[in-house]
Amino acid sequence: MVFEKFSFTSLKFFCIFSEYFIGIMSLYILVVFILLTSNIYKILIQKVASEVISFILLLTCFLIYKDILFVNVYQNVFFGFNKFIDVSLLSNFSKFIVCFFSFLFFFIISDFLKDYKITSFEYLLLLMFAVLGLILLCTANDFLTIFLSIELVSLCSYLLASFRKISSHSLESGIKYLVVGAISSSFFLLGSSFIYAYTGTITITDLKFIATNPINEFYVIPNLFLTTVGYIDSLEIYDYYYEKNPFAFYFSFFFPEFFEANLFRLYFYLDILFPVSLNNEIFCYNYYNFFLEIGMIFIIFSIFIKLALAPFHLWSLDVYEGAPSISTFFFSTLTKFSFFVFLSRFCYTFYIYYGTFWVFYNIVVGFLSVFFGSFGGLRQKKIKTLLAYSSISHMGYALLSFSTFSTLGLEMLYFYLISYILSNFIVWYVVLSLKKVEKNYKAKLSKDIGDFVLLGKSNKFLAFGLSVAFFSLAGIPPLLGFMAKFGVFLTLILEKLYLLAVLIILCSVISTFYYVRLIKILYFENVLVGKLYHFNSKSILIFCFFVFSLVFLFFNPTLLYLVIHKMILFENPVNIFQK
Amino acid sequence: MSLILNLYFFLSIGIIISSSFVVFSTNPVYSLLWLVLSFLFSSTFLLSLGCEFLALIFIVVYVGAIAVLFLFVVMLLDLKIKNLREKKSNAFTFFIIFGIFFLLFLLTLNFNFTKCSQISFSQHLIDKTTHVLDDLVFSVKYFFHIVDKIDFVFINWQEFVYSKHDIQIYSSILYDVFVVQFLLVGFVLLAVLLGVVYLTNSYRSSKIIDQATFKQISINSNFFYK
Repeated sequence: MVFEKFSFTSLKFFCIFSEYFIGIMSLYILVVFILLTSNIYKILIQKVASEVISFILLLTCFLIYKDILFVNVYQNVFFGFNKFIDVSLLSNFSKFIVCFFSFLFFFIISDFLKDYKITSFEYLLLLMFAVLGLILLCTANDFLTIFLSIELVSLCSYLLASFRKISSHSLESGIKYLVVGAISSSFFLLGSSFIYAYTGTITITDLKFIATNPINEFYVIPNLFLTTVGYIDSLEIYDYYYEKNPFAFYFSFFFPEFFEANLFRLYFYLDILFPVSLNNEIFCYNYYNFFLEIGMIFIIFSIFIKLALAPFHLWSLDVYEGAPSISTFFFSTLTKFSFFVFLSRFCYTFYIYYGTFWVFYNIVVGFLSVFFGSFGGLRQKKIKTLLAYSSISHMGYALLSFSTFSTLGLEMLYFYLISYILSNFIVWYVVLSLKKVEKNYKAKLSKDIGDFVLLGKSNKFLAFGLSVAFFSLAGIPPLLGFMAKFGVFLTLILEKLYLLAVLIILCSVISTFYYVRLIKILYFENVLVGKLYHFNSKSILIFCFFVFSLVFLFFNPTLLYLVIHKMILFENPVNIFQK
Repeated sequence: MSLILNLYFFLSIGIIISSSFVVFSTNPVYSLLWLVLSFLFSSTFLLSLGCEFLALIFIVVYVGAIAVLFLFVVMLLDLKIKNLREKKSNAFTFFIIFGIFFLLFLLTLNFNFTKCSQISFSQHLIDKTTHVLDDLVFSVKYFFHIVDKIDFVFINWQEFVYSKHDIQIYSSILYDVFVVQFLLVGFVLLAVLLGVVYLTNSYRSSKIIDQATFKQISINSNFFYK
């Protein structure tokens, strides 16, 4: 028998202790609230419920922080549940970050549930299930667990999108989300089945083992590292690559630096590992493999659909506009992080040996999403669609820094994501809390840009925080967003992608237009009669924390850099090649 | 052996043809019947592979429950398909752009299955004959623990499957090996159940609607009800 059976005494089956805690607590909450609401439906307990859930998530943060396994992890070697769960620094840090931000999310939305007429506790439970899926996605190591956790997140988010069942927009957005999500998950299954058909495993670490150790003769393994690899005439490889990949030739006409950089780095690593001469033909034919590349393409594209990156972004505009505002808050901030954790685990373990497979697609998709995200928002007047466009462009920047195939790129990816989440929390806090003192304003739940008119005069603090967040998203110096964008451009230039860096800087200049226009509406609009706004001051401390952190982390970014450096310590390419 | 291969070939072609007819047939009832046929084909495929329990479950769940439910819904709704065909959707161009984008990436791939496998096998032969030195280097490395210790063992599924009953295997796999995944599936089902109950129920109507028997009987009479 190969598999280990489940036992309560073994330490390997307690590596997802925090997930156990969240799952059991969600079931407990379900039972208690059903008993409470059995007599009177829609009794107003949603505020208490969301505060309780936020407290549970805070306790989960504590559990993750005090995890014994997490303390003892020195290398990326500990796996639980027959290698289905990966206990590494990356998974633990990312779990902590997701859990912390979801704790803040639940604490913030507890004030706004009543205004947005969400009176049933099922909404909060679905959000909690989605958070459970997001946390499991950070630790999952095999394709089955990853697929199930993605399904848990996405099924909950279809329901969250269509939760306002009275409005037809909400239902339409839910159905759109369902169709697109079903397509993307079927792509994922197809890709993972291709990889299984070729290699015989579904766990990612075993795939890495196959690539590094030549023991099996039964399985047709891409023998990039199995044969001795050494001096290679690089020009022949170029010819080979262009012959196989005609589209890459046209692409390289525009970005010639890109291929030089990556191919030469790969050969450099090969030389370090196997300094013996090589038959060229063998290397060439095994270097390219049909099943591995097509499986990787399907999996990566399904994740791109989930992240709403550029050629696959069309669903996100309608879904973000039609869904209830709190659900849109959830989609645009919390869900992005753990998908990128999965992508980095997927691409930087097994597929690191096939770097040129995925770098190409990632750079194309990242550039397109930056382009569409910055140009699409120019004429937009609805605030939610505008934020959807901005999220598309920011995911594009993150993907570009991820696809530079270097340690600095991975660090900058997580730095960028954290800065994006921090500034987006402020924006959504203001968007949710904005209530005019008018008759029947509560009935209007979708907001235009014009609703912000002269906020700077009626509520100075709120306007200041919002303008800080928009400046941070645009990337203006004394704020955290500048450091993040600066890091992305820096990695692109260090990897000799000069033309791409210039194009992306131009796109970011264009995207500052709609951020600055919003600030102009906040302060300098030619309206004689101003509007008065309510402001809920209960969770003002959290708002202050976000605004302060955006400024503070610009002057002291080493705090974040150190955390992120430790987080990806065993995931970076150099370390893997040295092992 | 050739008979079994022919059987596999026949069944797989049957699955492909029937599932393509599901998409292309205009009448929804016909497409559903094709769907039932494809389920039957796939269940016989599973039977020939030796998974009796899964094959029977396929027939019971898909044919017995889901397909019949679909058929019932289609009959009840009485959809007008002609209108759907005449409508031009605005999203068609977007789909084309999406498809072209995806196709471009697929076209860059190399579609020779045979070449890959041939070369790899021949290369294995070459490895065995000429590259003896590599194996020697590897064994030396392994002896001095330079290479990581090999804890990676492929699962002998054949032995695992044929030593037990079918249901025993499923139970052992579900409750021993894939515990986390089994619990996760439970959470997915619970979330969907919650959402479906919320979306379909309407608690707003406080009064219960009874059957108005008198009104229904007297609807044609001129005397009581006009």
